Amino acid sequence: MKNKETIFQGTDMVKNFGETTVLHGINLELYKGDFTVIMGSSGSGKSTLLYVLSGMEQLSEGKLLYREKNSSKMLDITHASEKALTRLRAEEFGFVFQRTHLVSSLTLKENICMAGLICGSMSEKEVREKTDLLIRQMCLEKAEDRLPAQVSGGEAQRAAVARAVITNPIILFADEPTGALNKANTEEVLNLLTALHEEGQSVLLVTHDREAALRGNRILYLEDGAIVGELILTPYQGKNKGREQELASWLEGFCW
Amino acid sequence: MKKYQMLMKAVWKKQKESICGIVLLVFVLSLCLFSSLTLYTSGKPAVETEMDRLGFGDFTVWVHDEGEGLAEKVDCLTDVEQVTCQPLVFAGYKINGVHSDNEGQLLVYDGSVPYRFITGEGEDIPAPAIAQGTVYISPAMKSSFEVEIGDTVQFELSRKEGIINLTVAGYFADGFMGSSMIDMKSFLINSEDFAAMQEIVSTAAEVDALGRNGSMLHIFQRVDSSLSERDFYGKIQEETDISLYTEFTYRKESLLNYMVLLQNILCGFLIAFSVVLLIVCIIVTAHSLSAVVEQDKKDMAVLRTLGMSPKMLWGVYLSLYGGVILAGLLLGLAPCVWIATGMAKGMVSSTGILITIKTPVLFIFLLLMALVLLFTTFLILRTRKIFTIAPMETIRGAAGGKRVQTKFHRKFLEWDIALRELCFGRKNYIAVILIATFLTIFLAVVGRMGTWLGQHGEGLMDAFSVAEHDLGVQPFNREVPMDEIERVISWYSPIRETYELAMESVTVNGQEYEANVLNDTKWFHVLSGHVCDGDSILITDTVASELGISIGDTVRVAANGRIERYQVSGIYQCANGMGNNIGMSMEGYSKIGDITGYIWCYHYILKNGAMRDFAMDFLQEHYRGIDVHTNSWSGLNGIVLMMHGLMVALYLIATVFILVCVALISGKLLQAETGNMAIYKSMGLSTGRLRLSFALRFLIAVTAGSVVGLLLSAVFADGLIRRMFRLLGIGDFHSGFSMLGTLLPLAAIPLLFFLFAWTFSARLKQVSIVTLITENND
Repeated sequence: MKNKETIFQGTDMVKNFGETTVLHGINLELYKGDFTVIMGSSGSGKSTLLYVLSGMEQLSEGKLLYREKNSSKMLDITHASEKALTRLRAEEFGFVFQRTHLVSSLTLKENICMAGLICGSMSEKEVREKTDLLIRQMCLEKAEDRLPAQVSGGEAQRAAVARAVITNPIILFADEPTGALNKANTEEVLNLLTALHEEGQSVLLVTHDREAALRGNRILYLEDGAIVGELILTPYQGKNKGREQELASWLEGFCW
Repeated sequence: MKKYQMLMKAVWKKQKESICGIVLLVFVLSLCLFSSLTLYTSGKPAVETEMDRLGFGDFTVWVHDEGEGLAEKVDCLTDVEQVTCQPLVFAGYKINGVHSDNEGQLLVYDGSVPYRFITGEGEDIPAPAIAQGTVYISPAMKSSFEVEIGDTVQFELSRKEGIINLTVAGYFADGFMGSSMIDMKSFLINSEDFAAMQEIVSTAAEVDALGRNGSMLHIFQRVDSSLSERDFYGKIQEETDISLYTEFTYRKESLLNYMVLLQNILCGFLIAFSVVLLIVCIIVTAHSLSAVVEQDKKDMAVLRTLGMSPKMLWGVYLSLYGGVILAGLLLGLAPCVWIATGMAKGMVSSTGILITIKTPVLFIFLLLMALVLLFTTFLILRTRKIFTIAPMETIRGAAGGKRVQTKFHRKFLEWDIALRELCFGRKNYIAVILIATFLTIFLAVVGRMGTWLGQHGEGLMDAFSVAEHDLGVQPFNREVPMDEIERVISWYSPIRETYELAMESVTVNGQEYEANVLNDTKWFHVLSGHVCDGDSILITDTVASELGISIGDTVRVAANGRIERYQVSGIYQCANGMGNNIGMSMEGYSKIGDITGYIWCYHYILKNGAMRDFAMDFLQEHYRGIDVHTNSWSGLNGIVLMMHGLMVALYLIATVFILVCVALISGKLLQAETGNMAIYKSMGLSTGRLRLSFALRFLIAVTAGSVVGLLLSAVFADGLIRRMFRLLGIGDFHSGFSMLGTLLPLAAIPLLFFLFAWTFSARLKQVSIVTLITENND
């Protein structure tokens, strides 16, 4: 990993909820261009790790550094202000959730466009052009003018991914993005994420789905709030028995 | 029963904010409505009781000179039950350097007439023994002269050593003349002081006399008399020489109406406002209830699958919200007597009388029942949708909403999002628009009236005077140098216009009225028809309806034993004497009256009207034998004060109502939109921008409602005010564009909604993206 650029560097990260400690002094670095997958059983703290890295939750102890877009220095975001985090969410982070979480009063196209408009780094014309491009890429032409409640789960989640990447974020945080989808739609969304990764997009995916985890090139395993294992895989290039077996045997070590 | 309790507890726990808001709204409505109704229903009986207690007759005639002999003559007539005579002294007076435009009547207080003594704050006090050198006055004078206990009242009885100073020792409820609507005021004094004053007046030479002895003759008609009031008084005039001594006469009913007029106006406004509040209350409750049913739909669907019938669920909501509304009504009802008493006390400086509050139990009970019925009907209608909840479809969550086309631009993103949410959830904002419309109409009516009224009561001044003027000077003898007086006035300000006015008693078709006679008839405020000439007269709306006459009719006008026929040429406005007056030209009046005497008052319109008070003070100080007055009257301050107080109270209540409405509506909207808000946050929209966008929705919706309200008020407000002002004898009312009537409601209501929505949207700070994710990862 020495050749890769670090985008997140967490040191001794602890997160407490009242008297319960969810993360126990985690040390972690995330690298640019990686498709990192966090796995673990329920209650292991994998979602909490995503929240603290994305600034949705503040660390109780420890330190979190982040390298901003076009910057060579690491910025301490451990106790970043809401204003600073808002800017990061608008310009440098992208989010995809388990439920699609599209704004119910906006059409799919408007949901995608809205994220671009909120972000200040692109002109309005660029936003509209990028929206059209993403709609084509995500095959949403037929559904673009429909409301989220009027489209299929797969279409909605594809729109959610498009919305997350319209701002060219440094990292795409995906929290169980296929958790509420059927098999066909899951495949579609995972293909999208893979395609984005292939184009250089850094992705942090939280999942407990082995199929989804296979898309990553770096798998972390969490147990009781600590990283207990790390697996480096070759980049995903379609179905590959060897990769599948490697992951399976690695997971077996955690009684998966 | 147990499950009902559990469910009710659960609904209460979930909806306690909106339930408390509804209670507060209904409480304010109930308080406002029941308090004003209690005051209204108590007013007339209280004043009537006071007038009866103080011995006011069916007619009371104010006469100059001794009235005893006259009383005896009247008493001998058939149809007369009884005549009582109350001696008095008429005298001009000055308080705190302010000269009264009208004479006062000094009455002796020896305990024989049971006057009610009160503090300036409206508290009853035991009847005192009035000490020599002191005087008790009406509390209405507090507002007209800013008089306090310990101040000196200077009575002018005679030019030669006839100025008597008496110290104000306290206040009494003036049952006949207390109201600020009545110019003349009574003063209660010690019997020695009274005798001394009578002596000064009777021994003063005619040229020096400023005061006059007089009496009030309280005439009671026999119960079995078959004569109408008019015929009864006509008979007294015919069969006695009472008209030779009469200064003025009031029927009990007329004076009673004068005395209760101000509080009736106040109550009228409050009751009208309560009706607006009732409508707003119903709209807000409807919105809130719909939102609650929508919000709890899933829970209800689950309960349905567990075997609970829709009727049972409906019963829970109906009884909870019905109970809440009833509680609000009762909470508001409980202190209404206390509030009405407070209002009555607070109004003594305008009404001059302390209204004893009596709760109209039956009326209040019936009204309460009607309100309960209205709200219950409404609740039943709004909760009916509980019966249509389809359990499985609701649990799965049906797709909702229709696509709306509005554009988004980076520069106006907050505005664009607000507009989109507004259009998308338009049903939710209908309540806001309706509330804004109703409040705007009402506040525009109040504002238009306030503008018309003016800072110093200019509207009333113009309405109550015969014709526009800044200064009036009436000479009482030939020694008065009018040329010099005009030069003095010109020092203060050039005179723009001048004309002459006389106010003389006449009868029209046998009914007594005051004739306003002008040497230049162009100054009459003619509402319809045309100005009068030598053969015609003008009448007010009041006279027209009282005598059943209209333009073109011929009437008999009599004065000084002469009678002439005149045609009614038009309707004019002059609210003086509650509109009981007519307008005549000098030429016309000359046919029945003497126009060569000192009846004329010279009216001046100055180029700089602000100088009028200075000119009046100078003339009053340096010239004798004249009466100088402005377009105002002593009680006007009290009325203006009360009206301005009322307006402030209405604005405040409206503000509280808006606050509660926004709290209720925004609370429900934010609850329903937590998801969308969190999504916007995850996209990087800051809480500040989200709050602005949320508040902008209210601004847009309320501005739309306010514009509609303003347009409606432009069409209907003047008509509504005109109807109300007819009670005052003001036949016409027109208002144009004004800050108070047009811009204030249009700007203030949307702004208040916006500010309150912004404030309540602070809870968006707590909307966490994590909550959004975890809530849905279940």
